[in-house]
Amino acid sequence: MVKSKKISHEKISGKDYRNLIINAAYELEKNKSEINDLNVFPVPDGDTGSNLSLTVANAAKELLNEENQGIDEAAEKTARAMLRGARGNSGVIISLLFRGIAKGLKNTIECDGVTWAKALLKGVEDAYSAVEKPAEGTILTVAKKCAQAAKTAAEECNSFEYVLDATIKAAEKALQETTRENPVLEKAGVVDAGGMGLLVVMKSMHQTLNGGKLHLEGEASNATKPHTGADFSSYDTENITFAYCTEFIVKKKQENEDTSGFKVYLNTMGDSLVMVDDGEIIKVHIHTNEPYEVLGQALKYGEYETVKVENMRTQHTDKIGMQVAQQKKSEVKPYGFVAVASGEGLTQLFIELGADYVVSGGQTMNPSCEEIEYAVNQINADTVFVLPNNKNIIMACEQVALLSQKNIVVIPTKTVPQGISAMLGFDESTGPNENEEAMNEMAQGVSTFQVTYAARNSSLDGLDIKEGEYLALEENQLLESGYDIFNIVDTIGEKIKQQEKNTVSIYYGTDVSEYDAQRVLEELARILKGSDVEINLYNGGQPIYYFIISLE
Amino acid sequence: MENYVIATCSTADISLNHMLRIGVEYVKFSYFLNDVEYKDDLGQTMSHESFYQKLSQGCDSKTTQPNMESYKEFLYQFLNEGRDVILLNLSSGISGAQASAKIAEKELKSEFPERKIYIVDSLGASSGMGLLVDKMAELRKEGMGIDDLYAWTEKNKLRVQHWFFSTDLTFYVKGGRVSRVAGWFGTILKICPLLTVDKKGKLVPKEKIRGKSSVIRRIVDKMEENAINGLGYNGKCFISHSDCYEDAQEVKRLVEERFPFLDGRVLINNIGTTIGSHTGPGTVALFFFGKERVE
Repeated sequence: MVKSKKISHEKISGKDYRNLIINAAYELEKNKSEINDLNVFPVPDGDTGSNLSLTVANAAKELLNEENQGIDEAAEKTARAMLRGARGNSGVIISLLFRGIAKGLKNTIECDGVTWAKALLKGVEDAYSAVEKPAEGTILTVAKKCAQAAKTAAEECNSFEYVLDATIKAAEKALQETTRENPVLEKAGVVDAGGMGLLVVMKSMHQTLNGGKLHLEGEASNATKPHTGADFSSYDTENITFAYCTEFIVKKKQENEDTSGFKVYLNTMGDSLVMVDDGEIIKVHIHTNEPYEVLGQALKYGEYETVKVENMRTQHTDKIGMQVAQQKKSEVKPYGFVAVASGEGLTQLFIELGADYVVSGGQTMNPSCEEIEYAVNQINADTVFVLPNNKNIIMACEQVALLSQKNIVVIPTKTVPQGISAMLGFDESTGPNENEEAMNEMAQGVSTFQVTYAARNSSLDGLDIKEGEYLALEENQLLESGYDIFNIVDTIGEKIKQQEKNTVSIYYGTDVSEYDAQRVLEELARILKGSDVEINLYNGGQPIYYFIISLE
Repeated sequence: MENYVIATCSTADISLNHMLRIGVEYVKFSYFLNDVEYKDDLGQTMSHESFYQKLSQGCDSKTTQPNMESYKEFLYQFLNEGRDVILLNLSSGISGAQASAKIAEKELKSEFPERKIYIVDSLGASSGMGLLVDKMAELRKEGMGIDDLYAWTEKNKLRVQHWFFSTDLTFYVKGGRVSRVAGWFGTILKICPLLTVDKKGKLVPKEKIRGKSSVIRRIVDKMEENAINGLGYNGKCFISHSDCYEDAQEVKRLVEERFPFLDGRVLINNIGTTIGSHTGPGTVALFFFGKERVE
């Protein structure tokens, strides 16, 4: 813990900016539950407070090591780190805001009130233009009103602190107004969570300027440690010699082909080797730093049945479980696919459908831009299609598409079934544009019902929801709630009847036994008796959602 | 009635009775089932049921097209009687039979310079060939001569629309008739690929549909999109299937429900042993006259 020096309030330096961001990350972490609680939708999801905290923490971490720099450089670093670390839609928006600020601070060593106001305006402009359909009553509106207030204040007095004070006042007012601007918030009688996060950031800036403690090192890293994130920059600090736990099964081209040479080779590639060759198939488990080399060699003996690669350095965070399917890095292929999904069953399904990488993530655990980009970069393809499969992950994927040198096409799938259908729309023989269109069309053609639990009490869309009840969603909109799962299933069944579609797929989650899943299937079959519908059950293994039900 | 011969292959997948009734001859393909050779004689030697049963049990079936000699022998019998022949042959897009037949034609022409021999590459298969040859027989009955019939067939063969789906593509891949494409073989997800035959007479995967009921509806949608006059289609419609009569029945039911002006009932045929060796069980194919295939 280091006590900050007196900060000039007229202008701020690069060091000041660094301190402001570090403290902002700390404050966000401290206040994240409060921000999370503003989430009006009762569905458990990637909470705004956590997402904002993780996004800003990425910048704080980046700035820790360097004190003396111009404000332009500090802002540039902040923006870059936030863009990479952005999680969830609110994380993406705040990172865009800071990217605009960095642009506004270009070639500035110290920032006065006028410059800050200009930078804020640039930030808001950037964020607005990046969001396809900017909604009012959100973090964007709060930021916009702040920037307008900053402009007026800067004209009165060219002092950073004076301008900051004015923006805080404006933010407080703007935040209160979000309730009335956004009908969903109005019903629930709360303010916008993202806007609240922004206010926390600005208030912490003010505090820091006025001699607030600087929360460095221990505290900061404690506070900002992503509880779910994979930290790709920390590899070399850990004591694992071989990072990738690599498992695969190869169906041999020629039965009884001698594979002892392969075993000798594998022994040179890592440790913890287990290899079984039963004549028809070879099963391998190995810890290695070069999974691609190993997988490439394995192909000489036949085709993969399954492949699984896990980074053991990040396994303890229980986060990143990227899976590779039939990956040969040296070959450039026309198309590659990254899908976001959680649960072993769903991951396997996407791999079977041709996904090269499945980024672990979904509801309540939105992967960062960095994780998505990492996955994209592992694929050597001319065009990479990215399937977010969750509405709160779409923006992060789009962000990756903007930042990356690669040709990335985001198919904005909002649910897992939309992602599966999008994969079915792919046709190798047509071009990227046709495929984008076909995949989007297929994604739109599927209906999704999801059953989860209420994470909080809520009164929404005419439903009085109690924490812990089952919740049914249709296309992410509330459909029904209650304590009896069969009533919920019946409601979904009635909805299915109304549509002229014939294939129902039930993906049951990790918290549901096969027996219970079977009973749900039978109940649905009972409701749908007489309609020409085929129902199939799959073990999706996903968290949070007991059932994801698709209709196509 | 005109005295010339209309002939096709055993791969036309219409029944023996049907062929006899319309007066069409056929050349036999053959297949090796666990290394025993059989002639594809439209289910006479081996019934379709037992054939598919054997495939399901894991028997391996390899097909052979008639070689040049077989075509020569087959055509010779008619030419020798002084009759002209028009032969509707299996698509060059999936078989080399056309090349053999063309060589046979060349040699026979020097032997029978006064006879007419027309070999038509149907660019089609299964009951798609059957539908076309059925129409050809009808035109002959109406008095069309062989030259005109040849011209008509060449002009109209690409109007025979082929649409089919399978619940299991294992056999297609094994036979090399479709290339393995990422995402096509979602066995877990019960994906039923919907395929067509293109203007080169090759099989082309078109869509991946989940679930049998959905693909059954989709294939009938394809008929609506592609048939002459759409729902007002008033020609004949044939279905062929490999050991999945109920699915074929369901397609028939939907077609008859949606196309009130059909010429007669929808005819359900078996996919014979030659085509069936490549499709395996679980394929339903739908054929009708429609838009000319341009892709």
